Amino acid sequence: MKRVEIITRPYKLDEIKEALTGIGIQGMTVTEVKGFGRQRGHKEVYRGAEYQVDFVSKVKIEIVIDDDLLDQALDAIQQAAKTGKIGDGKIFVSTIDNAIRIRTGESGASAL
Amino acid sequence: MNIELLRQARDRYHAGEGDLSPAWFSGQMDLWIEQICEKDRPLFGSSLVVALGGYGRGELYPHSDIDLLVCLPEAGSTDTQALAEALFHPLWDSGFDVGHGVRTVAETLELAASDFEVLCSLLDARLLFGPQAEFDAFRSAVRERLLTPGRDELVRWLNGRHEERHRRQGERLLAPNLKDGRGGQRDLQTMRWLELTEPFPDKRGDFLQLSERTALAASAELLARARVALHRASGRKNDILHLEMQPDLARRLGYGAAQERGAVELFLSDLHKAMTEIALFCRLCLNHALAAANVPGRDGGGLTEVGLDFSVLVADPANILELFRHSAQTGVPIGWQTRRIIQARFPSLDTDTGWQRAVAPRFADILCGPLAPHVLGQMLEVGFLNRFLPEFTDVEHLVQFDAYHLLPVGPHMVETVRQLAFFEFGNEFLGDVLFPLRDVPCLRWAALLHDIGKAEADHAVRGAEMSRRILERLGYDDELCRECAFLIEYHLLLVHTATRRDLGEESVIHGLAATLGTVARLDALTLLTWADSIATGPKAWNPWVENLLRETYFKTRKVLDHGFLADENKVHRLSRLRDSLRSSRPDHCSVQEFEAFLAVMPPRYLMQTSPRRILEHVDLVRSFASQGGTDGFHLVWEHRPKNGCFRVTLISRDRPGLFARVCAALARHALSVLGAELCVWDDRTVVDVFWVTEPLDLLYADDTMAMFRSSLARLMADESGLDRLPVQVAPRLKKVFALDEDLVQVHLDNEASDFHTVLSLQAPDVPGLLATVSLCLYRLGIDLVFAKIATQKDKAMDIFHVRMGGEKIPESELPELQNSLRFLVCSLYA
Repeated sequence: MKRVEIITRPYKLDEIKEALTGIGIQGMTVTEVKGFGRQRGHKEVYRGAEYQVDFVSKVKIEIVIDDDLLDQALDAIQQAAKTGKIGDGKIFVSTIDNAIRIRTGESGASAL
Repeated sequence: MNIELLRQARDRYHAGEGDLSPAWFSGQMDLWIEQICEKDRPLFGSSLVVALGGYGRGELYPHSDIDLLVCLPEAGSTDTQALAEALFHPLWDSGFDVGHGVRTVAETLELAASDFEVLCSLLDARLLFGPQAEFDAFRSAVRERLLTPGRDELVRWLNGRHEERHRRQGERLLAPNLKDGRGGQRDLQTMRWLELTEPFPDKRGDFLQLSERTALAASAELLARARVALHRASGRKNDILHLEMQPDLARRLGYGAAQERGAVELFLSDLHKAMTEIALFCRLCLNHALAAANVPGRDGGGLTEVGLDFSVLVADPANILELFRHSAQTGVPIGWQTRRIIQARFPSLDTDTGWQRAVAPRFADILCGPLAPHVLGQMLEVGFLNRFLPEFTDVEHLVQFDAYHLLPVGPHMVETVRQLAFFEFGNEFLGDVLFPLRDVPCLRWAALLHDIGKAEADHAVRGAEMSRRILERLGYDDELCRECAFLIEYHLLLVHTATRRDLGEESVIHGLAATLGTVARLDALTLLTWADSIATGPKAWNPWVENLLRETYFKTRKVLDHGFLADENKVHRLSRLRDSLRSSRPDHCSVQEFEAFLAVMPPRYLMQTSPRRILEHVDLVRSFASQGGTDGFHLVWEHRPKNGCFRVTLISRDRPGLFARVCAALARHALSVLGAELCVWDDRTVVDVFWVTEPLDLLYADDTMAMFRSSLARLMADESGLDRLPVQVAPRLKKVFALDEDLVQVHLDNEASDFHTVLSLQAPDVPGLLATVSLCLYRLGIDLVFAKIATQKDKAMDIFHVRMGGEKIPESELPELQNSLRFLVCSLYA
């Protein structure tokens, strides 16, 4: 099982959600985050001083999926999220040791 | 009846069979207890088996506690151990939660004397088994020894508990607590206990008029049914109606969807209305009782206004407004009698037309002042606001079922006004910029009415129409009506743009700026957005959203202050331009197709290109699309003998290095670029117009152009030809340049635009200059977004808007790039 973590532009959330549900992934966790990489924030000239706001608002989407779905998912995400400009974000993939559905106690892939 | 039957009854009750009620189950419990006591008469002797609390009132909710008290005539009068086993053990074993007490009457009274909780539970006492006479004596003892002397203190205690409950529950409006929440059953119990305390020795405490009693009874009934359904749905003792449970409960209570509103929303609206009413009445009862408690011996302070006949006073609606204003100023809430007197006036107000217009200026004065929140809140509560603005009635209790909105629409709009009134200069979000706007009339009205259209779809547009009607009806001038309608129509625009559009795209910000038109509107809409978000709830406004909104605000402001939309006239021109284009739509192009074209044309393009030219371009783009080329291009040229040049129009799809290829091809055929207007539409269609020098041999101009076309086609297919460029500079020019190096000016600027780095170039014009510069940019991976090329006499004056990786070129790289470009251009002449 793999955990896929996507950090990307806020307005791409709907597209990515559509793309993932389109390939059968039903659960996801969404968090509002701030950060920066190479993309810098915007400049404000405010109260007579000029300053750079470095933190850019992003959205973080996390899913846990079966290994077989990984490649499909990565393709779908990139297609939905890519604009070609700096600030598109990153995808992180890690391996999950186990997953359990609290209600029934199922574990492993059937818990997903 | 035995314990087995009781258990079965309980199971049937939990399952919701046949709509069994709390009263029914209470009856079942009574039967069982009676039966137990009868069976063991000697054991119980002359003890009193008493039901307390909810059970005492004859209501047992599916998972409520069962409060029992066994009152012994005196200590040691019976085997208490055996009694407990007989009465309590079977209940415990069956899984009931039993509140159990075995005490003497004396002990009970002593306990109640020091603990008001106990006293209140005794007020609901009901005899289940035992001698009636003893029970009556017990009741009298409670009344005479505890209730009457301790009445004032009890009232104050009840009030304290009420306020504490309401304060605690205030934050959990999304998940109402049906027992302890605002307008929950505790409030109903509080009212009942207050009535029992009889503060008016001369009158039986009939606080409520008949109409009020009826309304209250209906609300209490809905609340009770909801609580029963909640217990059943939760399967355990739970009085909090969590968000996830709300749809289920709506279904259980028989709500179905109707018109535009879902079942859940209808249910929550009714529930909110019921609980608001209960909370209100409880508050009024408490105020009433408190007034009496504070002034012992006087005739029910506030029950009659001695000397002043308010019913005469409220004949003039203006006075009603003044009553509210006075209440806000002094901090004293509207009294019960006053409330009734005002409400008695409603029927005649409803038939009387025009009074609203007469008091409108007074209302506006209040609305724009610091007292607005208090006044509006009370007006809403008393029901006066609905009279002044009848449109409020439809949305007053309208609940939005999502995890964001804390309040129903009516209170939400009042809360938005409150946020405006309390906006501080020191507010972290643009405090000093927006502070002056907080009491501007059109903004306050927009805040009060922004969701008035919520009962229907597309509430922003609908609300704008309604607000216009309302404000015109009230006699306001056209400008206020217009501005207010604008703010309401676009009150969601900023958040939508900030969270759902790409703020890094110039066209997005330009579009927003074009819609708003002025900095004043941007500021007003920003403040309204802030107030609306805060009033919605904590999820709607947080640092994350604030960050996005700040970015939107500053970028838009910059465009409106300094950008090409800085002139208000230009903004109007844009919409007029679009309209005039629409009216000149060619017949062979459908409305849909044409609108699609208009939608992707950037504002800059629309402003700088004549309508006739735009229509020509539309035709060219259609031809290009029909020839299906994605790698190709469409080229047309036209001789302009008067200007001594050729106008070349190129349609293509955007790709890196396109401009470099065109310039190279032109240079190859000695066609110097006198001017150019380059544009990329939002759908990546390239529409470039070049003005080039006439070919050396005018007679064969068409041949030259055809050769240019083939060169370009070759370069599009294979770019290796790009690096071989003939650049010939006349010796005369070389001499001139050697004298004055300042003839070449290369400047890179990251301040001029929020979206692009601006490269400005001035140099003596030579064929190949543009090709060289554009090729250099291409090789460095710098994208050209748009450019304005011009030549004055022999001087090229070119402006390029560029990006690297979709962003402005990093500040740190600018100096080196600037030097490289300058060196490159200078070397042309050397």
